[in-house]
Amino acid sequence: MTHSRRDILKTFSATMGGALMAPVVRQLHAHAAGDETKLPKRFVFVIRANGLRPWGIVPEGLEKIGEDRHRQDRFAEFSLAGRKLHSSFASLEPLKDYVTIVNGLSGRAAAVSDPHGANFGTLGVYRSMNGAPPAAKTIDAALASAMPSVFTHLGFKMGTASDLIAHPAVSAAGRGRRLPFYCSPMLAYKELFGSLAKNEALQAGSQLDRELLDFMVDDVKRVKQKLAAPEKEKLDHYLKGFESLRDRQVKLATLDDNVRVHIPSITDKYSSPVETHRLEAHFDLAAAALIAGLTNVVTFDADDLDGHYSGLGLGEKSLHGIGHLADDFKVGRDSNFADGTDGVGARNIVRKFQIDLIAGLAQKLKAVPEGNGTMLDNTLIVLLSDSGQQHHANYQNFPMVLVGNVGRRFKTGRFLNYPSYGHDENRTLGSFYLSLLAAAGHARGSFGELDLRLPAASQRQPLPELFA
Amino acid sequence: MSNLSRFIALGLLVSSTASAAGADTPGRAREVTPTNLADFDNQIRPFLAAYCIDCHGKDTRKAGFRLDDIDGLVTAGKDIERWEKALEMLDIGDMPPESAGKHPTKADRRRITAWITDELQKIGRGPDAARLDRPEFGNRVDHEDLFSGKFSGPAYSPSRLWRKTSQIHREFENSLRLPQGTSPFSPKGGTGFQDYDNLLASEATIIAMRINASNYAAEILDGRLTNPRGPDGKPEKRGLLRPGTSRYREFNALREARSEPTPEAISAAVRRAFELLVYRKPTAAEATRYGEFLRKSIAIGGAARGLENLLTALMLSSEFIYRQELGLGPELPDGRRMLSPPELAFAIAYALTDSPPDEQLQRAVAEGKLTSREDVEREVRRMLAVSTHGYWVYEINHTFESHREACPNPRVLRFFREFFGYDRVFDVFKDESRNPHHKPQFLFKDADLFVLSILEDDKQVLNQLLTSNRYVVHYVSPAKAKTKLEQIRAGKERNSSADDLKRLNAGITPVLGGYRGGQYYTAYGFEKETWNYPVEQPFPVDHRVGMLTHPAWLVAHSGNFDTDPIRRGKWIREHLLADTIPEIPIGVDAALVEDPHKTLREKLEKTTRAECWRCHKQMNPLGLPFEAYDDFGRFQDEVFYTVDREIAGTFFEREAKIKQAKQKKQPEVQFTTQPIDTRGALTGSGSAELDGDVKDVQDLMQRLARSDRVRQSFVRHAFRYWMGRNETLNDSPTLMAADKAYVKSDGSFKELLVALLTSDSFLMRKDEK
Repeated sequence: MTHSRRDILKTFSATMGGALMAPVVRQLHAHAAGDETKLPKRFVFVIRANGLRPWGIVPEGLEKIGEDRHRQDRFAEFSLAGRKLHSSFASLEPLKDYVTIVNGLSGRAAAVSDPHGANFGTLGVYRSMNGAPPAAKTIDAALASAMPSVFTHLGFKMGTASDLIAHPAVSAAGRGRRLPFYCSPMLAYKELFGSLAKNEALQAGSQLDRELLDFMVDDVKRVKQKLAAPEKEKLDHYLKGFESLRDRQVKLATLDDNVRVHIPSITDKYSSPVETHRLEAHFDLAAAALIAGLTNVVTFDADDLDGHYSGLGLGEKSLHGIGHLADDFKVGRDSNFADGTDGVGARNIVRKFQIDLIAGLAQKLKAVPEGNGTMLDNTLIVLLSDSGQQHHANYQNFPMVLVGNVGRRFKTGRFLNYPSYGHDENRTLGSFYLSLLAAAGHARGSFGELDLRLPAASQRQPLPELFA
Repeated sequence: MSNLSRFIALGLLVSSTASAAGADTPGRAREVTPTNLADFDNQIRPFLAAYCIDCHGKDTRKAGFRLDDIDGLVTAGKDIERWEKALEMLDIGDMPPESAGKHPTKADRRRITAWITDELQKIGRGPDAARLDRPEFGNRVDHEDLFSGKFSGPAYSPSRLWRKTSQIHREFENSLRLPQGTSPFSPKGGTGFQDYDNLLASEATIIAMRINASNYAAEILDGRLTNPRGPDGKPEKRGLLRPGTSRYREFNALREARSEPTPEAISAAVRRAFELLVYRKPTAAEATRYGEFLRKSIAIGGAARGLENLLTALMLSSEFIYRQELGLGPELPDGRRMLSPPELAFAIAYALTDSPPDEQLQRAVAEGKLTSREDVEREVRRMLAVSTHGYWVYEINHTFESHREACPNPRVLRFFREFFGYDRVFDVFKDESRNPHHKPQFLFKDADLFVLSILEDDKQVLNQLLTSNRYVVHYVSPAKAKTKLEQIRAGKERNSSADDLKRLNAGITPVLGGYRGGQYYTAYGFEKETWNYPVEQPFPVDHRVGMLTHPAWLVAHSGNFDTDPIRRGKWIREHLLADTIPEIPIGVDAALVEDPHKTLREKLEKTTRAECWRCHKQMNPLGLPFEAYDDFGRFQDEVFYTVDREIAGTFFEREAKIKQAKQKKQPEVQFTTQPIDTRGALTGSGSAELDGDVKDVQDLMQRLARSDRVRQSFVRHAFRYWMGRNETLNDSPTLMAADKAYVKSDGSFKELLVALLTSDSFLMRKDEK
């Protein structure tokens, strides 16, 4: 394929509704100059509730290896080539070369007494009690601030039909600073693409917005002048909010018309009462925003325990109820669905839905050439659960599925099985996040808290096994 | 609204007398001054040698920690972790331990902690200075010092912006009948008081408010919802407006104008918007600036969108987002300033309610009768004299969450919710299969009414809260009870059964509370078949002693499957004994062993290992007496075991098994039992008479209720809640006066509140450096 990225964007717009591109210019320049390292790295986190069970992600023939009860005492690696992926991963089969399945990373530094999820600890690697404010930056925010864009961080949450925006216990920009997640695809659309539309009404709207933000910056500054130091600081924080929104507006407004392609067309899914439809719309928006270069980091709070999967025919029980269905791990107590679907079946249905969305996103990125490869080559999608491997977590294992190779820094197409918790060679979520930072060119010596039961030295290192 | 705006026309922000605008000092890179080793050798090393090295020396190394080889070069960075650890232990007074032979003086301790803190901060480490502003660090100020009488103030609060609460925002929506939007304030979350003056508005506030504003504007400008049903359920009486017409003629005038709007129309609209949203008239300068903004916006987007932009701008203004307590009154020689009358009106209103000043407060400001401490006292007393009856009879339904504030002076009740933390009852997930009767919203309401019934009497309030067994359970008003009883007799009560009539005839009053509660009252040990429902409430409930044995509190302080003696002990330690427990050390495996054969007390044995016990001895003995209740708050005096010697599940699960066996005609299910051990111990009550082993929860609560320290700790928490910040030694006079007022009035919470709201801490402001 020798299409230029611009051509692709045009065809792309015809198929999925398209996207408008600003930083594309920067990327094309980088390409022309032959400097691949300047291409942005992108990260997408998909956080799900209810655990991600090892038996449900390992390739066929290796099922027994993944489960906790078969304690691993050493690191093992299996190639995915020639192996069939789990049946719920059908849509990832064609992308198998990009997939890494990881099992056995522990997250005890984030363990809390509530077994239903580590809250901010999942991405932050620190103890975060249910309902408590975040204690520090999470990995997505850390990556986002290292690689700023028009929208530094984009969050999407499935939510309910009436929610507009939420602050779930997932991502934080620092102590006490929860990051917002869009629940309403319509709202996200307006914020992401509203000011870029050719539509006159929308354009007048964005001009009004600019006036408003200018006025507010001026207004808050005036008030600030009259205050003593501590309150000044408080208002500074508020002022920064206006300024960052205004900067965003300015950046959006200066996008090159030539790379402006049509924005995704709004479908019924955007305002559908069915929660899975809205999540699909979120994935479309995320793909468009990533391709447009509006952001480099996206986090999905893909579902929560209170939610239902009525769009998948599982509306009868909440996700929490599904978590309490018996599967081969014997945590369940509740009775099966009326149609006989059991815990294993229901979990497979939900996982397949999420894997399909991830595969869809990956395919869209793969269709866009970038540098000597495609956008997928500079992206990493991470799927994991905030309660690790099971509904009632012990936080000793956080299985995950990775798609992409971060500029070919990661070696892919493999299943990596780490030694179980309790062995000195066990590795942690913290090390995994250090690997992401290193792959993105922002290596550092520590992330989050240490698990003092494990040797400290290895926790301060990325995972060498991931790298090419 | 216009009244309200008139009196505040003085303008809260207009005056700049309050705060001299200090010149911004440009940030300069700070060079680290290395630790002065002479200081270390003169002051620190001798301290360590005297108090630490015995246990943390080369050979002793208690808890694997040594200090003998530490050098004084804190700024070199190699011993950061050890210095931080030492600092924390000294700061909370955990080290040297009580058992040690000698102890440093408080002054010594303060000197050393200040030195370590300073040195660590030079290299950007050490405790975050702002943490002391957070409610969970409130107890760090020494209790004895606060009530010693040695500190004479003068007390004041810093002049400040105080972020409004979500509840104030909801009230704003209700008062204008606006559609409910997203709260613009991200929640503080966590336990403890939710409304502190150190909270910030952020970008999320702006995003949420802009979304809300366009929905609000639809109502304010188009009158789409002008005639909806009000909270009373009745439709708005005033005349129907045609769609697209505003309730406010100033806005209509602009929209109907055919040519460019006149200056008069512009300024009328700006004035109206100010009155509506920030409760005052604009100053001349503001009128010009906002007028210009409105004109420009109309030119871009037309009248409707221009007006929407104006409303949005005002709703994003710092005055709309923050309460402003700068202290605009005259300055005293010591630099303090009293709040100005309009500021006072808002401070009083938001201390007790979620609404802006009521008419009387407005009148007092307008007539110059809100200038002195006495004026404030008069208004506070007036507002406190209000009946809560409406909330008692408010019937719970599925929308209860949105009506949680349905009580007059909602902030008073909210104090008790947040102090005791029973509002967390909603957050603890319980499996339905373990007890399908569990309904947190009903337990929550019961706990509310328990508090309100005690506040009604207003005598020995804290004592009652800690020891009374007179609960309110599934309340209906006596009048309604009477009607229901008549209907049951006549066979006409919609949700009652023939059994109810049978019970009634047998002399037992059937349960009269609404059917929506199901049988949630089983948590109190009442059964539908046998409970003789008390029409007169509150009434004594067996085996209960105060709020800490109320099912709402017990559930709020429990785990998903178990009780939680540790958390309960911690709660008592921090809320009643004015003490601090360090956070769980990182790396400690906080999970208990999973063993179906063991009771929680047995599982907790793990925490009696020496390195755990240092902290856990402060919690477990206080929390274990509450093992007299299961994790749904139901009283139990025995542990039930299955034939396999496993713990036999909840009351409900056992009953279900028995019933099932009966239905299937299987042999009767057998359980063996053992009495529950509910012993514990009280330490740190401040009185040798009260400290010691306790035999059960009754014993524990009675002792706590007699402790002066417990009462003072309660006063400290009330202070924090109403001042929106932690106390400092300067506030000592305020705390002591409030405590005295409470004692002198035979434990009247009203008097305590009046003392706090007329104190210098509440009325005075001063700029902090």
